[in-house]
Amino acid sequence: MTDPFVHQQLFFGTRMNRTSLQWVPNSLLWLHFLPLCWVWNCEPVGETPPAPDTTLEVSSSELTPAPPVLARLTRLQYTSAISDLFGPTIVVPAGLEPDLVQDGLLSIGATVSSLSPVGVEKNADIALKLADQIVLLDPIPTFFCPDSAHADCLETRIRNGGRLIWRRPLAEDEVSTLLKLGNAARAALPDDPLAGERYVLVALLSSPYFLYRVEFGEPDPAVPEHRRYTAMELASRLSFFLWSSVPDDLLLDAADSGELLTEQGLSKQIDRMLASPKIKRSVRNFFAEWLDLISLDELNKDPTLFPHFAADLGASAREETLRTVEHIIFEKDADIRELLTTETTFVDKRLAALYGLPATVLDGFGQVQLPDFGQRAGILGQVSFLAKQAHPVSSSATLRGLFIRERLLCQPLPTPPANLNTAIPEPGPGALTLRDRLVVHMEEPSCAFCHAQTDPIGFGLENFDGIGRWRTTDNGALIDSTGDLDGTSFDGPRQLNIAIATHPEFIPCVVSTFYSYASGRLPTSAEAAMLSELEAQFVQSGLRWPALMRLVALSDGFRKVAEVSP
Amino acid sequence: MIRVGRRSFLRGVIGGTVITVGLPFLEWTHKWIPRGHAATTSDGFPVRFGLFFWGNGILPERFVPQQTGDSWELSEQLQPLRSFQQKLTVVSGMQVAVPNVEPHFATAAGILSGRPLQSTGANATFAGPSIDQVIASVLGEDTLYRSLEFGAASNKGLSHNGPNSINYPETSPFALFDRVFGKSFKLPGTESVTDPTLALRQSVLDAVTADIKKLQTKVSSNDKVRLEQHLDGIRALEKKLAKLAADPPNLAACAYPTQPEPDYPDIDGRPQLQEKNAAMAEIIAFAMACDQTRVFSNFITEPVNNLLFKNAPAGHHQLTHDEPGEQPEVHAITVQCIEAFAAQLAALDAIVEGEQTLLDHCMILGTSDVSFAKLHSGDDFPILLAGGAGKLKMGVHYRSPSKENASKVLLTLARAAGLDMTSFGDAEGFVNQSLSAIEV
Repeated sequence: MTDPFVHQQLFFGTRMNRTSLQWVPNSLLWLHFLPLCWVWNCEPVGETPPAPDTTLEVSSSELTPAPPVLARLTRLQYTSAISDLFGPTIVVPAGLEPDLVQDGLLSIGATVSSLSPVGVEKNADIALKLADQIVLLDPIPTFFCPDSAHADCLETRIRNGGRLIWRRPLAEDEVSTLLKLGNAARAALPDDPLAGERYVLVALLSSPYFLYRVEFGEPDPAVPEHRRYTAMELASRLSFFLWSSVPDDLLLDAADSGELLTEQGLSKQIDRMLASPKIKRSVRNFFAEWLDLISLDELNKDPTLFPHFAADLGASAREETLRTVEHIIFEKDADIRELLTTETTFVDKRLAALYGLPATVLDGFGQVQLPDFGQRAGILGQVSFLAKQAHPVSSSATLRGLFIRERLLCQPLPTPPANLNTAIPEPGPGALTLRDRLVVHMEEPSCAFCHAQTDPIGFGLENFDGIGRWRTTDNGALIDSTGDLDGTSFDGPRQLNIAIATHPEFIPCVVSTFYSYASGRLPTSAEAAMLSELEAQFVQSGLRWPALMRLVALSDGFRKVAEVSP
Repeated sequence: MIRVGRRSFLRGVIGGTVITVGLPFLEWTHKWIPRGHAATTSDGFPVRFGLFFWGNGILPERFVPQQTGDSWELSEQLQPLRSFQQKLTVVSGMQVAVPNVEPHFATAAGILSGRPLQSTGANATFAGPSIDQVIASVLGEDTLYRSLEFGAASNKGLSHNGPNSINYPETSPFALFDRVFGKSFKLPGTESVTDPTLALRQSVLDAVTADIKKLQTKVSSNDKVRLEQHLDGIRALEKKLAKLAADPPNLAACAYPTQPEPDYPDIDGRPQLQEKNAAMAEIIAFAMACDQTRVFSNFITEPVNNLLFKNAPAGHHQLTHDEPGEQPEVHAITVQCIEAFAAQLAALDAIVEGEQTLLDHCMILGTSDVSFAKLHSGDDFPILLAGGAGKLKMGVHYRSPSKENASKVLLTLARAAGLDMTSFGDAEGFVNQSLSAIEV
C-alpha cells in the first residue's frame, strides 16, 4: 500500500474543514487535523480557504522588547547592497570574510562574529577595487549631483551618496571629514580627475556605518517609557529583512517624512517591498540559510560510485530547491507546507538524469512534474537534502534524521558523548541494509538516547541512496522504509513528508526560525506569546509566505527595542 | 643557494630594537595581559612559529613511537618524517583535559587555546585566542602580516583572536600567493617609490577608527569587544601601510616562490591535497624568508572533515567511526596527513639562513583535533614539535608518565617565543608549569 492519499484520509479524515478550527494559543496540536487538501491539490473539502488576509496586524501590547544587536553585513548583503547602490555591472571582488553560522543561521552569526584582521585587510582592498569600477560610471549612481559642473559637487555627492550607503543622513562633522579626505585626494593625485570621489567612496565603504547595521532605538513618543527603532533604523531593518540589502530612496524618504512610523505608512512600504522583484533575494537567502543550502558548494561524492556527481552538482541542487521555493511562494501563492509535498520541481539535465526524468530543456532549469504518487516529492526528495545529509559514498539515516529534527522541527539533540566507542559492530551475515546494521544503536542505551530520535526518521528515506537516486534494495536486500515520527506512523518517504508537514512543531519551528532570521538572534522568552500570535495569524492566512513576511515586519518585536544592554 | 648573513637580517629586520607588546583590551585578557620580547635564535635570527593541523586525529597505537628518550624509531604513522627525525620531537602521553562536551571541537579548543569551549552545540566557540595568535602577539608585531593562515582543504577556521573572532584560512594557493607576493610585494633591494595613495589610505583608516571609537561608547560590552577586534585589524593594516612605504627587508634568502596553479580541480572526486599543500608550504616558507610574517597556521584539513582522500573508499570522518578492525583505511589517510606535514617541513628546510635553515629557526607544532577519532579521545594526544629554534630539544620522544596536561606544551611554546607567561589556559586546561623536559 503506497498510496499516501489513502493513508492521509484514514488518518486525518475528510470531515474537517477550515471553519471548524479554533485557534488555541500555545498549542498547535490541531495542525494534525488540518484538511490536507490545503497541502495537496486534491478537491477542496468544505469551504475554499480564504485569500490571505493582509490586514492582519500583530498587537502584543505587553511585549518586553529585546536589546538591539549589532549585525555585520553578510557577504550576500554586502554584494546585494553594492549592486543596488551602483548597478549590476559592478563586480564585488572575491575575498569578503566568510560568514559565521550561529544557531543554524548566518543572520545570527552576523551579530556575534567579529571582523578579523584578514577581513579588514581584504575589505580595504575590495573597497579600493570597487571604487576603481564605480568612478568609471557616468553618471555615478547614488552619488547624485544635479549640477556636476558646480564646485560644491563633491559635497553634494557626499551628502547624497552617504545617505544611501550609510542608510541615514550624514552629520555635519561627517560631511566635513569626508570632504577633507576628498580634497586631500584631489591634491595628492592631480592626474586623477575623480580622486576625490574615489577616496570618499573608499571611506564610505570602509566605515562601520556601512559594514554594520547600527541600531539603538529612541523613546516612543506615545509611551515614553517604551523604546522603538527610529524611522531610519526601521527603514534599514525592513530593507535588510525583505530585500537583503540597503533601503532605496523611497524607503528613506518615507523614513525622513515620518510616514514609516505610522501604521498606514509602514503597511504601504511593506506592500511596495513585497511587490518588488528584490523580495525574491531575501526569500532565497532565508531558505538557503534554513535548509543548509549554502554549504552545498562543498558537496563531495565519490564519482566512481555516483556517476551523476560533478563539482557543480551542489550548485545545481541548491538552485532546484530555491526554484521550488520561489514557485510555491510566488507563482502558486500556496501553503508553505507544499515545500514538503510538491510534485513540481525544476531540474537541469544532470538532475533529470539522476531522478530518472526526461530533461525538458537543453540548458538551465526546466519545470517538471514528478510521477503521480511516486515517492519522490518536496524538498526532502531533492538532491540538496538527500546528497548533502549523507556521506560521500553512502546514505546516512542519522544525518537525514538529524536535519529533520533540528532544522525542520527545531528539536536540537545533544552531541555524542566523548570516549564512547562509536563504531557500529561488524554486521552479521544477515545484516545487509543500513537499517539492519544500525539497529544496534537502539539496543545500546548510550546510543539509543539520540539515535532513536534520528535514525527511524532517516530509515523512511533509505530508498534514496547517498546522492538521491531512487532504489528499492540496499546491498541486495529489500529496503524497509516504514517508521514512526512522534506517534505518526509512515510507510515510505511520501508519508514521512506528510508526517513532518503535519507535525505540531513544524509550523512553530518555521515561524521561530524566520523570526530569528529577521531579528539576528533567537527569540527571547518574552517574545513567546507574540510568536504564538504570529503562528496563529500565519495559519489564518492559509500559511502563505508573503503573509508571514508581512506579519513579522509589522510585529512589535521587529519595531520595538530595549535599551542597549550593558 | 644564496646564504643570508645574520648581520644583514638584524640590520634589515629587527635593527636591535626590543618590542614590548600589550594586547588590546579584550574580555579574555582580563586575567592575562601578556608582555614579552620577541625571541631570537642563538645565531641572531628571529624565532618563527608555525602550526600544522590536520583533522580527525590518529591511531595512537600506530602513531606513538615504541621507544622513548634520545634513541627511538619512527612509528608507522610517522614514517613520512624520516628525513627530519633529528629536527623532530614527539610528545606523547599528554592529555587534553578540557571537558569533552563537543566531539572534535572541545579537544581542538583544548589543544589550541588551553581553554574549554565557550558554550556548546551550534554556538560553540573558542573562549580565548589560539596558540598561534598568542605567539603572534609577540612575534607578529614587526612584520607586514601579523600571521598568515591557510589550508588546502579547510575553510571553517580554527585560528582565533577570541570568541567568534576567527582568522579564516586562505584555501586557494593562488590567493595566498597573490596576497603575499602580489602587486604590493617588493623584493629586497627594490627602491621604494613614494606612493601617494598610502597616505590617503591611512586617512581613510583614521576616519574609520574615529567612527568605530565613537560607536564603541554606545554599544553593549560584547559589541565593544567585537569592535575592538575590528580596530585590531585596522591597526594591523596601518602597520602594513607603513611597511609598504618603507624599504623591504634586506634578506638574501628572500625570493619569489613558484607561482601556483590558478586552480586545483578535484581528480576522481578527490581534492589535490598534497599538490595544494606543497604549493602553499612553499609560499609560506618564502613569506617567512622575506620576513613578511613570522607566524603561520597550516590547517590542511578540518575537524570532522569527510573528505575523500586519495585511494580511500569513503570519507575520512565516516571511516574513523565505521571502519571495523584495525582501520587500515583510516591509517592510510593519517599517513597522508603526516606526508603533508613533512612537505611543510621540507619547504622550510630548503631555505638556508646563516649556517642553518629556516626550519631550524622555527618552532613548529603539529597536532590534530582528537587523538583516537573513533572514541573522540583527548588522551595520548598527537603532539609533534619540529625545528625548535634552539629553544626546544629536538630528536627526542618524550612520553609523559602521568597524563600531563597538554597545555604545558603551549606554555613552553609561548615562553620560548618570548612571552613572559607563568601560566597558560583556563579551567581544566590551566597549567602553571611548562614541559621542562623538552626545553633547552
